[in-house]
Amino acid sequence: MATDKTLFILSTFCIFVGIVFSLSLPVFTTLYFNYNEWHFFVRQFTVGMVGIFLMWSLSRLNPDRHLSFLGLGIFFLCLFLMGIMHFLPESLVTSAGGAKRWIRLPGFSFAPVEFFKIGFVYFLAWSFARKLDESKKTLKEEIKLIVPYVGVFLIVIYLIAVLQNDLGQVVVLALTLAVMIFFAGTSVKLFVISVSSAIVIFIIAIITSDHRMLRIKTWWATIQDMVLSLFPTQIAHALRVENAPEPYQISHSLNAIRHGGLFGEGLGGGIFKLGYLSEVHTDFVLAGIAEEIGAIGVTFLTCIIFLIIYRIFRISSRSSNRVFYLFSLGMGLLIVFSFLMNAYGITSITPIKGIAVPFLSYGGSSLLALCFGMGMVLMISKRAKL
Amino acid sequence: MEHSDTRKIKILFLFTIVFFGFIIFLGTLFYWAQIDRRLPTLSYEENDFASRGSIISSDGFKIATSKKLYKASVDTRNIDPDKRTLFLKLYSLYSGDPIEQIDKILKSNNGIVVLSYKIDAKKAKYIQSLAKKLIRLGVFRSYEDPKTKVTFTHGLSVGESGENRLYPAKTSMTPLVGYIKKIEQDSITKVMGVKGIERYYEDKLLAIQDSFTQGQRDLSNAIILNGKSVSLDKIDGYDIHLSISLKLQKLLENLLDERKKEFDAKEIVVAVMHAKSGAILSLASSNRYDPNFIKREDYNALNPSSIEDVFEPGSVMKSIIFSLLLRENKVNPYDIVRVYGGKFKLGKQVITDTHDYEWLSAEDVIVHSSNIGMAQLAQNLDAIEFYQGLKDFGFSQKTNIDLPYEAKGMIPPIQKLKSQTYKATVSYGYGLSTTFMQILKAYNVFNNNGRMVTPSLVSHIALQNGKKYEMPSSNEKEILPISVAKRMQKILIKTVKKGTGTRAAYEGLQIGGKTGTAHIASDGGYANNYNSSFVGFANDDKNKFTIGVLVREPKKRYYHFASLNAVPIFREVVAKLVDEGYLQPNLTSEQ
Repeated sequence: MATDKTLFILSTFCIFVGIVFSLSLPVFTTLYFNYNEWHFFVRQFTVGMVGIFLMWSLSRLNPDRHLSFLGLGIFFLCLFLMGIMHFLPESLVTSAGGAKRWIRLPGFSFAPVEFFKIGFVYFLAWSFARKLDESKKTLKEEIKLIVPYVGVFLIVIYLIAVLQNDLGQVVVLALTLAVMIFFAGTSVKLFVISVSSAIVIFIIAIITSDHRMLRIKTWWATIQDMVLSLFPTQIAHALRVENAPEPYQISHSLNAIRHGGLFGEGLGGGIFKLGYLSEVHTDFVLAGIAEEIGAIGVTFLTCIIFLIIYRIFRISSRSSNRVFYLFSLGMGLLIVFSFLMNAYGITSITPIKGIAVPFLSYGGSSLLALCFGMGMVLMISKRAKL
Repeated sequence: MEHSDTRKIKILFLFTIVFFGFIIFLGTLFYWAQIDRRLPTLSYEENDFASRGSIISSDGFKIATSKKLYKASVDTRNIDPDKRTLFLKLYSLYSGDPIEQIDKILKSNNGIVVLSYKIDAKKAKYIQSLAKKLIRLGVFRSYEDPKTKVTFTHGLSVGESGENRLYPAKTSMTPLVGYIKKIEQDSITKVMGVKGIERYYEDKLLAIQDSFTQGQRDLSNAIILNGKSVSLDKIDGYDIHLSISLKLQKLLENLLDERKKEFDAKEIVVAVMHAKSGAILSLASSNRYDPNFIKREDYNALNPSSIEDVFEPGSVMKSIIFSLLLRENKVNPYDIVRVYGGKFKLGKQVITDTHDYEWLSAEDVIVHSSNIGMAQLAQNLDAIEFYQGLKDFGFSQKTNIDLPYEAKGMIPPIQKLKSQTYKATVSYGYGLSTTFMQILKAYNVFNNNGRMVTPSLVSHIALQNGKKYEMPSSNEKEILPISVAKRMQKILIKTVKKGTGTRAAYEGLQIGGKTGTAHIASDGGYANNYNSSFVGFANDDKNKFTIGVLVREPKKRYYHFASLNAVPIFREVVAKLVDEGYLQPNLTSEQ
């Protein structure tokens, strides 16, 4: 049985696309901060190369012997780091707006949360494989089984959402957790109950905060024309919100997509990356790419990502080991949720929540963590009946 | 195996949902990519106006030059009220304007206000750098117009308000250099030549091409220079380089100012011209004005009288007529002419001289300026020779010097020149009108081997990039055979040695010339007003200069004679030329 080479090649391709755009998109930022024009490119290129090497090296290991050590190791290490991070001196952590997200090491800094996601998924897969099975249980039994995980997840919420003020990551993890529990063998009933209670909590959270309410309103103002065109006129009229301003970033994100049109302005030809879209190389990378290679170019990249997801799910469904099965499923879900959350955000399908696009966004920690996870999936692929 | 199958179905189900999730994204993406959506203006253009050229003296001084002016404006609605004081303090610091003044301007209007109009280039740079700092300090915030619903953020903007014409040499070189008027062009103040060189060379001085850059812009309005951008270089107007030296001009002007006072004259004009090329070395007038601030009392000094005013030249015409007689072989310099002791009746007309010689040789008629002698000699020319001769010397035509509004003067028609009386009066300089420049140009023929050249003030024009363009040299025309020209030169030298021009003599130089003291006609008669002139040349071994002096209406008693005013001034001019190294007296060879 061989490693899934296609998956490796597709991932590598995406990493290279990310490297190319790390040169093209942040030109304004380099000028604004007086950086060298290669500043972002050199970093992304280096991390990309290290990441590809990491994927390759991990793929060569024996999953039966090393996977558990790596997965649980990274889970507990990152949990520990995130726990003590808040108490580390200023010289060791970089904070942004009061949120301490990066640990500073000589020469670079890294965000433990990115690696934690991989570790968390492995921890769930490992634990579910032992505690949950497909046998019939009553709802009460099921709830009893998953309560400990809810407890663990509350700690995660505290560490990431409260201490690091990074709600986007928590949402991705929550969604992954929910789907994984379901796939680990709980009933549809439980799944429906948990999803509906999540929606209720979500709505309460919005209604109780003016600031969140405003965000929803401005989001709706942006998207309403598109959505309401699908409804009959009377209903559409009732649902319409007037005079709500379009949020600045979303507005320019949509401008960039419109400016790019179907075929784009050409590589390097984007205009909205020049100061209009301020996070163009990270959270708005898809909008920046859309302006340069057009909707058709983005469709092509989306297809590549989709193929990656397909390969991962394939490995998952063909693994007989339950840990392997759940872990690769979780990895696939991480990519799906991160990608869609970002993609929906920049097209205003949902309100925007800052999260990196897998493979494409500039950023060392997220790319390296993703490569680490992909390496583990590739390691597993050797045991799948492909 | 059963487990494995449900697992596969579950994953397939999940995968289908994911697929639809992706489809929703792509559908929305294409929706936004195609929808009719108003994008912000993504292009920007910048203009940098080219300036008018300068007028530069031969010794490198700028006589007229342009300075760009800038204005700074700001939209008060975009200033964050919390940071208004910060804005006031910083702007005051950078512009040098007092805080109270800026505060007042800001309060004057709720919208765009111009903080200052006349900012020079250096300060404009400072204020531009301030504009960037203010953005970083967050002084400006966006403002939504309640009517149009358009949201905008305008920072502090610095733009050109126009150009200012400066004349650093003040009154010097006027009225030659001329002056300008201001015109508004697309809300930019520009200038246009009205008189003098400013006017004559208007099409050369005019700014040639404004710089223009247009292209896509980034958030801070910096233009992206790529394949889609357009840019034009800035080309300022030509610089006009004069053949006149400011230093000599200034020395002569000072001299004329003194002499004007001394002789109580209306104006004194002096011209010094290179005999060979016609390049004017100096053309000075006692009547000048400051083009930076023209006042009402300057009005009669605005026109260069040397080319615009015509007058009856008087005795200086005698040399011209005499040279025509020589050209036509109608006189021998050694012929003896009877001059009747100073009083002679020709037809009905009585002609007088200021001396009482009974007989004079023909050349001494010039040397001692005998009207009676000249009137008789002139009868030898027939009407056609007379008329054509005057035409050949350029009378009644423009000299084509590079100044606008030149007067032509006039000569009697050929019919009248058949009459004895007309021949006589024209021969000693009445009955025709000329400009000072026409006389100078005619006398230059004697000093240039019989060849006539066009006087010119400009040696070359040049672009800012250093490219030089010589002015096309005029066609030389032979008016007199070289022998006649040499003979005339000798006679004029004799006039300085022995005749009316003795006070012009300068040892070591070849000096010649002819006086003219012309009554000014008024109300049918000739009152006691005179135009006194001396026109001639001063040469050394290398250089030949033709020089003219005109003293208009000297009022000082007994000093109306050219020999007592124009001639001494001529000598002083020669002395300045020697001082400044234009002429080197040769004291060894005999003159």
